[in-house]
Amino acid sequence: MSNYFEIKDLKINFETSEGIKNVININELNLHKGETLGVVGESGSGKSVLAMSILRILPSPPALIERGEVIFKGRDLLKLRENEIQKVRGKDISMIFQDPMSTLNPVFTVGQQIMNVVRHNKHLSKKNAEEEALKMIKLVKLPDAKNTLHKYPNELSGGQRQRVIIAIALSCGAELLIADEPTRNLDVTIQAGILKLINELKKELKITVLFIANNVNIVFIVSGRVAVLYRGKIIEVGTSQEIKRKPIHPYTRRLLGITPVDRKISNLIKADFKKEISSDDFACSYFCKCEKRMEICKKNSPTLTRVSNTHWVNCHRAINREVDNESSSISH
Amino acid sequence: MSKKSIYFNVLMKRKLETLKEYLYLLKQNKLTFAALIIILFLIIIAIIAPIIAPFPSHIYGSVNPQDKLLPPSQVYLFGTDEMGRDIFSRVLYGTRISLLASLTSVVMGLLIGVPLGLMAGFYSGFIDEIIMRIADMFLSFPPLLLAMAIAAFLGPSLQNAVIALIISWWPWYTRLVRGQVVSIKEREFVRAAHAIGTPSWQIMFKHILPNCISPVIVQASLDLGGIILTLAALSFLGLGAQAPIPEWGLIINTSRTYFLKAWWYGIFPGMAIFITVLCFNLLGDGLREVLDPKTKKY
Repeated sequence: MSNYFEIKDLKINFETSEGIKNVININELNLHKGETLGVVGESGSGKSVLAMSILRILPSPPALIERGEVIFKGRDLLKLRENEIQKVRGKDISMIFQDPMSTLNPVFTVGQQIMNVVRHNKHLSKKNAEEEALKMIKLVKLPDAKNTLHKYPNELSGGQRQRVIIAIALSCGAELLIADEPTRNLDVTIQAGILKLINELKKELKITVLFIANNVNIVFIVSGRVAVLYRGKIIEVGTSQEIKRKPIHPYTRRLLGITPVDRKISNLIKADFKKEISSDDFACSYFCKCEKRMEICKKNSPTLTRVSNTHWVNCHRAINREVDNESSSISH
Repeated sequence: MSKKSIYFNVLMKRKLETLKEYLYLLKQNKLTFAALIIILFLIIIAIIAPIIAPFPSHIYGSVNPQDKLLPPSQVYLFGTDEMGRDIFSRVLYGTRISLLASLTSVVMGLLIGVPLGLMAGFYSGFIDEIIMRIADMFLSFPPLLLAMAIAAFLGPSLQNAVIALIISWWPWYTRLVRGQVVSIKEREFVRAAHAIGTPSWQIMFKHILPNCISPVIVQASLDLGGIILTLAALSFLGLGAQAPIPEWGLIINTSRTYFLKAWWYGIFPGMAIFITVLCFNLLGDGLREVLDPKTKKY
């Protein structure tokens, strides 16, 4: 495996009034150069925290990085000094945020914002920066580039804003783009446009993308590989095809909506809820909601186990090779 | 047409449009528009006061006992004072003093208060605590009382009164700006700027400051009036401008003795204070409406 980008043994805790809570606990996550890795998970599973921890923009009093390494091109980002990580931000790794409505500064025109970033990071003259800005606007396929440059964010629609944000993120020549739910708050047709754009830009600029979303289907559109995040843990990694056709972990299967909720299990979950048993009490964090839980799940926490060359699952069922027959019979 | 001129044209066109929109909004509010016109008029008066004053020599010295305490007439529009000086000339010149003093105080207050507020809000924690506790110290006294104490300590003069006003006014801006910064700091675009590698000073001045400046502009325009009033109060109490400076508050103070005999002596400078302060307050309210989209009425 190439070590273009690697997350090793990352553990992030949040200090809350109820004590320290573990938010991220990832043993291993790799990104190959030029690929798109999708990270899916429900809200609160730690997707955004993961994204922000890579660029070290987590607000530090509540968040504490206990241990771990984030290796990008042989350098551990977590150990860099503040002025060194400052140079990585934007130039090597860039990020698109969730909400296109609030990611642009309302008091500057789109052109000024791109020029600001370009001038600072590339040390260009004002005129060159203007040309660069125009080039970026054209790159993200915004119509009427010259006029758009002089528009304020409030004059643009959500999709247009997201395109501008992508333009800004890529304006300094970043190789790795972290897209943190870039299609949230956009309607479906606009989503498709943005996804298409990201796919095209990826090919055109040969960038690597870490794509975060809470919608599995969106992730399948853009990603070659998919990692499923649940309660801060990677529970399944594989190529899109593998995850789509042969999901193994019960959570992934439910995420894909291919298993109807068993009445017996849902009663079980309700009973657990009444008894105030939380998954924290058990070794496997999915224990409480798992339809196929076993005795072993209570005591031993599962580890990421290899199923095929590219497919890894964090479940005892996979370890025991008890992959049920259903998964192989299901085909979409 | 060359490439550059196209950019330039578009930019100018858009700037003109924004200006037009502001003017439109100001015109919507008739009172504010009137206030703006009057203030512009006052500024012109302040600049050309020595030229248009009918008796320039009366502004400072000059004693004409034969004309003392004359009621308003065609020669002396606002009448004369106990030394026979033309009150109209003195009030006109007083515009210059009051406007200049209040502008100096507000600008200096902003220059001190705004950066401190920015720093306090941006670097929360220790720096925030120190700046805000010092500001709280100043804020715990009523501004007039504090200004009086400082002016009395420095010795009564117009300059010292202005210094006293600056010292008692900056913490208000600091507190205002800090509150804004704390909320804007958490906005998504600040985080995005951080993620793209923008250094903190640039985030502070380019992203946060322009977003929190509109309430500061409103407050400053209201304070322009407030400071004229406070300065007049200080002069009235003998802690501000000293005779023979034609400061409005001071003229009113000297007029007290002759109030029953010569009503015109105190009334006209009083009116001048009233109109100026009223106009600045109306302008401040109007600006609030223009700058804060939530109160837009159209």
